[in-house]
Amino acid sequence: MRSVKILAAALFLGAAAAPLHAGSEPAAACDRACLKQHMDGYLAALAARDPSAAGLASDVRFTENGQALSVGDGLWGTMSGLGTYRHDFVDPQNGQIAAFVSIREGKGKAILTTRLKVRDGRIAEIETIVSRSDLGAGGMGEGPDRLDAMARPEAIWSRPVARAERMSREQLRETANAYFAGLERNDGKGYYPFSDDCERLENGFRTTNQQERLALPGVDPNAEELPFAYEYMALGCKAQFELGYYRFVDRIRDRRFPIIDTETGTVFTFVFFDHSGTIPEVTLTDGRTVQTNLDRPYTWEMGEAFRIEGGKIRRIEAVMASAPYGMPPNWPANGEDGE
Amino acid sequence: MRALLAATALCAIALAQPAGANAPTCDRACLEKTLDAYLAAMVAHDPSAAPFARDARFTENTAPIALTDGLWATATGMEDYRITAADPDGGQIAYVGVAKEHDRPVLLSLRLRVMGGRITEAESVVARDVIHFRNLRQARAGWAADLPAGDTTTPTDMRAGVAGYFDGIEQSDSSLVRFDPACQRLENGLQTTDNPNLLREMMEREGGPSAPSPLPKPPAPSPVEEKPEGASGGGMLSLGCAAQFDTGAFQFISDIAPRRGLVIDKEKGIAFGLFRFNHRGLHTSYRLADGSEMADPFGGQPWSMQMAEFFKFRDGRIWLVEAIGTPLPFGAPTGWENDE
Repeated sequence: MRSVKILAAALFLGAAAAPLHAGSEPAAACDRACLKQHMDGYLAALAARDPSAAGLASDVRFTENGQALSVGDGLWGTMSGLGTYRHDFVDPQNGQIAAFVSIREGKGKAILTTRLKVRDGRIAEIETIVSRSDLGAGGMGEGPDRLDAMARPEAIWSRPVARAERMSREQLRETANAYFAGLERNDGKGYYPFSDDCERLENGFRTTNQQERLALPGVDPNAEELPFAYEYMALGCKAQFELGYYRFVDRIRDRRFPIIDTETGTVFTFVFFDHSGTIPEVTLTDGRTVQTNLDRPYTWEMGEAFRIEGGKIRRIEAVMASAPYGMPPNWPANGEDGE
Repeated sequence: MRALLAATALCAIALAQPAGANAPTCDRACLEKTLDAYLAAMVAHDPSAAPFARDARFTENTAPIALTDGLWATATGMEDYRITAADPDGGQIAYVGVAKEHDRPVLLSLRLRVMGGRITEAESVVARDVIHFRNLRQARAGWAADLPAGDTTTPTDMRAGVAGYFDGIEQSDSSLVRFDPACQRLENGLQTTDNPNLLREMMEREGGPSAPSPLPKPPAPSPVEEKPEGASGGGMLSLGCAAQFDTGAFQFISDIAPRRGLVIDKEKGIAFGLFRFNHRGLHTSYRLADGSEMADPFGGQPWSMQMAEFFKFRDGRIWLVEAIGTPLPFGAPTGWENDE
């Protein structure tokens, strides 16, 4: 606890000192608290459907589900309120913050993934994915309710990593990328850096070590023979990857790592998962052949975050929405710099 | 085998016409054969078996993917359903049919541009969330037939009819479009005019109520809560094309733009085009012309639909409408922005 306080104090000192160095390091002009204030203001403005209250730059670039829209369009016209869940990821070094947020929209609920870039005290970039309960969230329509019931992310996400054990930005990025490299065309034999107690949350549902029979698209929870999906989700992160089940994910492309926080060991990414629909069944590393039910082309666009400790992934949180198969990205590859 | 022969013949045609490299030198029969070669090559997963130009452009559901990907990787056959509209002067042919994807039917619409005997543009819309195929075994006779002698339909009528149709939806005003009194519409195989059973049909998904798929699909319409007499209560589904427009039940469609990719078949009296339906979701309910209140069928979410639509005319009026559509993220580009 003491180390946390000292660290926080150090951060505030760092923030206080920042203006002195403003000329040499303009990127550090907005610290953690400042970035969170921008997210607060943006979410409040969104809930009020009032872009003028969000502190936006005059040339702000806004995308929703991969489409460049005018500010005021899309969710700005349909948002009806905030839920109770919000999970922030901050990167003061490059002036960016991202969040997973449960929201109300129209008559329904949704999960908002959003990334803001702050430049000269104003929000210059807004990148959002709205995972809507009916449109494109698959069978996971209750995800926002699950997040609301949690109300806040697990405390482990924000716990500072001891200074001596911190990984570099590059190391964190490479570890997060190892997740995608291992999952793409997953064969069970790759490098899978997971901690033993690793857990994953997808669209509000825990999809590791899960004993509950979740309502999944195309899966009958009352089938005579237990569908493989339930057996699979009862496993941990590493055991899942070692089975080689994810072979049907043909490509994880346009991987961007815009937010890396060395203090908490968190990485926030945007990626596309392409499923060609040509792998309707896979043979697992244990010799069994199972149906994937994935026999048509489709793409997920996702925000996916990782908590990494000692070179191993301990927590994963992802929010995804359907996109036309193969949809091109709408942000440049080098997301870390936002350029 | 027949497809192979057709492909061979096409290659011969293409080789024989190097001089007309950028001219629309393909007549109706040539366009139909080129379409057949495309479909055969797709099912064979072999784009080299179709006469593609070297720099041919291809999109599936607006995404510029490889010709070895998407339905080109998953198609296992074609069924008989077929509507085509050919415009030899413009070098274009439009098509809708039923493809099999791992033996499961999907609706496929195509717009091909053929220049100098080679396919330079292929724009496909694949509807994978079709509720049933009962109306997609064989196209109604009107689609294949040429306009009968004496039919007054002109290309100008057809262009005006298409423009008026979408203006009429946007403005809930049937006076903007000339409908044949017998006008009927199919949307992804569902008859959505004069069909009091439509809501029940929509619950009767072939292959069971929950198709095993995490695919993008149109949001599920809310259950009808209102009194059945009002237009809002599903009563509009029993109405014809014109009367439906005037109920105001299409107010949840914010605008239809862009409207593009027109193919006008003068002989058959068919107009085809690609139309983007944008739903801003700004309201959760709408007041209809009869005073009743209709809930936004999709609960107030922004989303778009890419539609490919065929219109068959009779004496200058819209008689048959066939629409194929797939949902898209709100505001998605068409994939063809720089071409028109």
